[in-house]
Amino acid sequence: MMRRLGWASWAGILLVTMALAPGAEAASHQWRFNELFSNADGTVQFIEMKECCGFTAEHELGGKWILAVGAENQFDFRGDLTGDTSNRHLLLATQGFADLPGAPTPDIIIPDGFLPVESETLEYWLYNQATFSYDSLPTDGVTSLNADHTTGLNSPTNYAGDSGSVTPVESVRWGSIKVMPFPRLPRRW
Amino acid sequence: MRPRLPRPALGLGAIILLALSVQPAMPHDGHSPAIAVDPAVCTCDQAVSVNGWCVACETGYVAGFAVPTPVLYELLDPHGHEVDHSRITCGTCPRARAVDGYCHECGIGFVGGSAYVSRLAYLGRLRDTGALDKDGEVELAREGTRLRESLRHLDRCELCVAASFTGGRCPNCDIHYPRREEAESTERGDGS
Repeated sequence: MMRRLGWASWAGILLVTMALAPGAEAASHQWRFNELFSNADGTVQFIEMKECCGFTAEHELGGKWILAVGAENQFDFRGDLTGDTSNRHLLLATQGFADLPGAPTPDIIIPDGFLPVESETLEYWLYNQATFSYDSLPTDGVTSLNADHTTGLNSPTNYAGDSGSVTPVESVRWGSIKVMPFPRLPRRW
Repeated sequence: MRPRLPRPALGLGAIILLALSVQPAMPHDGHSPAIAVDPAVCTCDQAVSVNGWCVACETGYVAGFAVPTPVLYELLDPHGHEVDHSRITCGTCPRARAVDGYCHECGIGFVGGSAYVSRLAYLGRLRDTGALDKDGEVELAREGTRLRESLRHLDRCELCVAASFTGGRCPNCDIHYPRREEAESTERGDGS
């Protein structure tokens, strides 16, 4: 004889189903180095990472790290992300970058000189598909290095999707007047 | 007289406890212990069936193989991931997705629309769905052998285990292990 299932039974069935189902999971495999930038003295630098492959839940960066292998500079991620991550960017940059006009707000501040301007290999945790090597970074204050090793006008984008471009030209003293470089407006303006 | 729970309720309780004690995907969250009713109780029997993590034994399962290190378990990542297919930029991935195939360029396998980020997890999922052919079975066994070989490095360093399996550098020991996936990809070309 059939009996009606009570709420507890349904709850149990639901729990078991949730536990056993091969559900979608959050992770952090698919972040890649997308654009690197440095000025000559390394005070203005950014690392733009990008979710490469349309994965929607690449949140769990906490406990992972970025390592500049030769320089032994390591940055440890301390927290996770939220929201849909597919094709989004993550911007790690120096305070000198953050202070520039036209710079999108960095998601994470890294120390000056984190990126060596000469030959280096960057690793993202143990994800070997993310490993990125370069011979040198452009240091003309305008150009950045892209993931495909081409160079172009820097175009940093943060996790919120704000994009811009910076020109870290040194200020020039003209008599007693300090002349600052004209701010470059964000691209999307 | 003490009230007695009816038998169905007891059975249901046992099932719920079992479900809670087996964590399908534990080590993503910084390797903290999964929520378990009793972390001292081995749940390997259940974990192996859901590619889960047994807290008591500190062992995860991927495609039925034991992975007694959370780092490698996380790298192999036995579970399917949601992908916004409209945002896939790789030319090969959509083709692989359409046939439950594997994109060697990206290192992503697709089964039923979900994405698997290691070859081992992909093959294991294909086997679970009954879609793994004989060649796949052979490859899965070979992956298992590779896994066992990598686990020999566990005495030295947990990161060495991971680096030797995936190919790459162990940041602890600065040992470079050959990138087998790259070599295999070059030999095989792309496709499923």
